[in-house]
Amino acid sequence: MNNILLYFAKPSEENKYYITNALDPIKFDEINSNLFCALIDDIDIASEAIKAASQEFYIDVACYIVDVNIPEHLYKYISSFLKEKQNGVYRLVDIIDEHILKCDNVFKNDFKKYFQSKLSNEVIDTAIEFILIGNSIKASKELFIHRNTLNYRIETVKRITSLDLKQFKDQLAFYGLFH
Amino acid sequence: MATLSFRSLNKVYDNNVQAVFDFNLEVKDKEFIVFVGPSGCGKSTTLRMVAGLEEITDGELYIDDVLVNDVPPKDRDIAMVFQSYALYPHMTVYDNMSFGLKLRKVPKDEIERKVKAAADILGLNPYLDRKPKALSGGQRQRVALGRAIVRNAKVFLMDEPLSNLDAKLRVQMRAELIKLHEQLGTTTIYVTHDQIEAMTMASRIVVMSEGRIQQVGSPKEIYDFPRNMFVAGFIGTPPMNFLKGKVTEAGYFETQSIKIKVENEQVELLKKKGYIDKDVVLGIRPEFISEDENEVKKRPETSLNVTIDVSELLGSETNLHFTLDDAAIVAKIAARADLKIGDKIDVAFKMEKAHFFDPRTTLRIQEYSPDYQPEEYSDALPAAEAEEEKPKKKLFGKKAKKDAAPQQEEE
Repeated sequence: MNNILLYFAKPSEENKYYITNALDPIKFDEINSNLFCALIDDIDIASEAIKAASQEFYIDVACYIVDVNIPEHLYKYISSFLKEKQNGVYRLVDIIDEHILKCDNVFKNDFKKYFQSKLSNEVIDTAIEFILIGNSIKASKELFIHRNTLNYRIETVKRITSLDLKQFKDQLAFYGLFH
Repeated sequence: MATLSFRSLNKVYDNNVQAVFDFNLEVKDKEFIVFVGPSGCGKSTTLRMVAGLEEITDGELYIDDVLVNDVPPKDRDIAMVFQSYALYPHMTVYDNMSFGLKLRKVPKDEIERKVKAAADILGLNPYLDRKPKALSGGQRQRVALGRAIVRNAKVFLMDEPLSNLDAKLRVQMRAELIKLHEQLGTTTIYVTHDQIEAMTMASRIVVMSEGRIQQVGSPKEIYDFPRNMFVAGFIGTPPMNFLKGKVTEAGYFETQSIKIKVENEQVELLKKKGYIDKDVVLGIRPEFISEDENEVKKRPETSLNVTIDVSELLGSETNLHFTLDDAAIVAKIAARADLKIGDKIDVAFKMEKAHFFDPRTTLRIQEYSPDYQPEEYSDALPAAEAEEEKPKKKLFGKKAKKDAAPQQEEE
């Protein structure tokens, strides 16, 4: 089960009605007048269904999939991102990438601080080396750690930050935050 | 019945980037209008303004004589098909097509009738119980079309719906869309960057570039009488060949290295317009350059000996590439497998099919003949109405009148 956040550019009852029914009736909790939260079973089905409904009923709705929990004080970045985008389905990696490309140092410091509180320096250093070397066998040799240790640390990064360091886009996001 | 009237539509984004400039067009009921142009030319933006997904910065849009600028998309009675269409993955084909009607509280029997009718037209009956993941790309696209059809909308808007399909499937779906339009007769605006799609599907084409209409006309008009070098070069595969040079008093088109006889009629026109011994651009389509021996014999004054740079055998025809004065020229000839790089060959230019363009304005040097009445601008009204409408005429309308002036003066 995953939480999703939905930002409606025009939060009418009608628009909410269409989106709610597209996802098989689900319950929305209101965070503010434009932003709503819901719990869903299948992320992939939900994101396709939201896209289909927004096309069919001409609804501007941006959806954020809550992969990992982040503290409340960082949610402002998510709602401003969704407000800007107005359409589409997004994850944390999309938000990080966008702010890194814009050289938003305030964002960078806020998220870096948060992740540093959850990840040890060892894990962060391992992740950076892995990204730079690009190969788990070579990286584990350079770091003098077992491959299993390397994989465990990469999985830890994914669990805490939602960033999959085996994907280029996620590598970019992580490297941009910590470099 | 559904007509559309675009009156001086402009679109400027918040960052002051203007995407659409003074867009004027009248779309008749049942027309299949294609907006075509390169990426970023404003065609999708214009379509989205029709849908109500983009705000119109300035100008007026009428659907069936009703001003719709501030009407929300769902109330405009339009149905849109997107390039990256999304289907409800957890619903069957039947449910995908009926979902919108169900939520709009349409009676069940009516839903069934509409869905079955659309499925019949689109050949989806065998797939009604399947889910999207069990369908091919073309079948999914048909479901997206079906969703639009069941709504019985006045206007269909299609934004590059075939772009995600492979080439063979695209050709097949093109034919199906044409048949669909003939069956339903719904006014359709279709956006594409593919000029072959535009030529094969449109009743009229709107060629756009950099946010402006370059020309409006039937496929044949656009192809045979391009208004400017952009239209001439964009429509047609391979594109029109261009050569810079001068036409002399003696009636020859001359460059640094070549001399070709120009048709007397064309020389007269160029003389009348003041282009003799002035820089002009000769434009000639590849199919009007022939290597046929008889043609070359018949046209000694428009034949040249050229060296082949590349010979592309396409099956039923060959594209022959050669260079004239640093300009890359392509001739479309009958299929020949014997021609090789470096071979010398005589080619004849069918100058009666050539065009001349002003190199500064890029406009085709032309005069309307009594036999031909080009429909360049959709707001080019008949003379009597044009007089009444004078105050509303915008830049393109004024230009159309200006271009038409010589004929009117003759009359």
